[in-house]
Amino acid sequence: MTFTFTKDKYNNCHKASAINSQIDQIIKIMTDSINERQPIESIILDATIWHDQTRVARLCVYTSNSNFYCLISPRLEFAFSYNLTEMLTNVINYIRQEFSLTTQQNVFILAHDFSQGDGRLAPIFSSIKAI
Amino acid sequence: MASILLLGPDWRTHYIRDAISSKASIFCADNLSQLDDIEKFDFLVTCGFDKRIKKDVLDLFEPKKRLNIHATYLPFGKGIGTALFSLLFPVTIGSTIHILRPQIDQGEILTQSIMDPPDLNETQRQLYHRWVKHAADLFIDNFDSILNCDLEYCIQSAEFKTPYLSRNDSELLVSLLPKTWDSTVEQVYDLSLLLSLRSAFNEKCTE
Repeated sequence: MTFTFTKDKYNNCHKASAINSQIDQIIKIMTDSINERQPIESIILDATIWHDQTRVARLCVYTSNSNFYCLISPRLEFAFSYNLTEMLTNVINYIRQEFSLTTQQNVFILAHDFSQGDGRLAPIFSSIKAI
Repeated sequence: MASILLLGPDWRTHYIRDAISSKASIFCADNLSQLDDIEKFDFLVTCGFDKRIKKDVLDLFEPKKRLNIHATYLPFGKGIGTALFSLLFPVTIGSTIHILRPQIDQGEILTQSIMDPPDLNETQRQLYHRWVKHAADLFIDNFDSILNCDLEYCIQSAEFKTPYLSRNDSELLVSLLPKTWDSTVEQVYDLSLLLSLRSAFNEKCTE
């Protein structure tokens, strides 16, 4: 099954299931004291990621210094219905096609780095930038 | 011969009892209310004991004679669901022997040991059992020094974020995994990455 992307804002208006917001409250404690909320005003793409007929994530993109930065909000109830690496690869390919990027322009996927001490995350996707 | 009250579930305490019974007199229990003569013991040791122990009971023992065997590398992983926590929010993994204080998992550290990183194909359940044995072995290996009160203690570092996951929080996160406790470490790491993505999104985008 393939991943597809739509820019239809209508899809984003539907609330994801409550489990997502419940878990957001849990993970919030890992970042609250470090980062104040910093909304981005220059989003150039707001899209929905579909896997087969399911909306599995929301994707927002902004640019800075000619690089492209992706923010992804996966719906956790579908987390294991697809291959995560494959989804992220599809996101990067989609951005490259959508904005006709040159090889000099990078696409980064942003993620918070929760690790502490000597904790090591499993092999992380090479284009993921920890913030 | 020193007498030790070892509190915790049978499957955890009996392994320790069998290993050290030639060096001390061990009494295993899984409930404090069964006992009315706690003061007769020289040491109070807990291992997987999930109930709070009152200060007046703790005060019956000198600090180095009231210990908890904890299967995380403190200050990481306090409370419930510690193995899951240590993978979702990756930290050094290992075991700790610390002094029991009224506040759960907050006491001074007597000794610690780091574990090798888990194999990606290992399930959470397998990792947990290996981890529990690692913690028990840390106690067994240091038992002579513990008996002699030879170990120096240090205060837990306050440098790291050490959130407490409640049982509800842990179960909610486990419910996302495809085989709950039999999910592999790799799948837990995938969930960790998904949480990291959501966290970054939530900080910068509005729903």
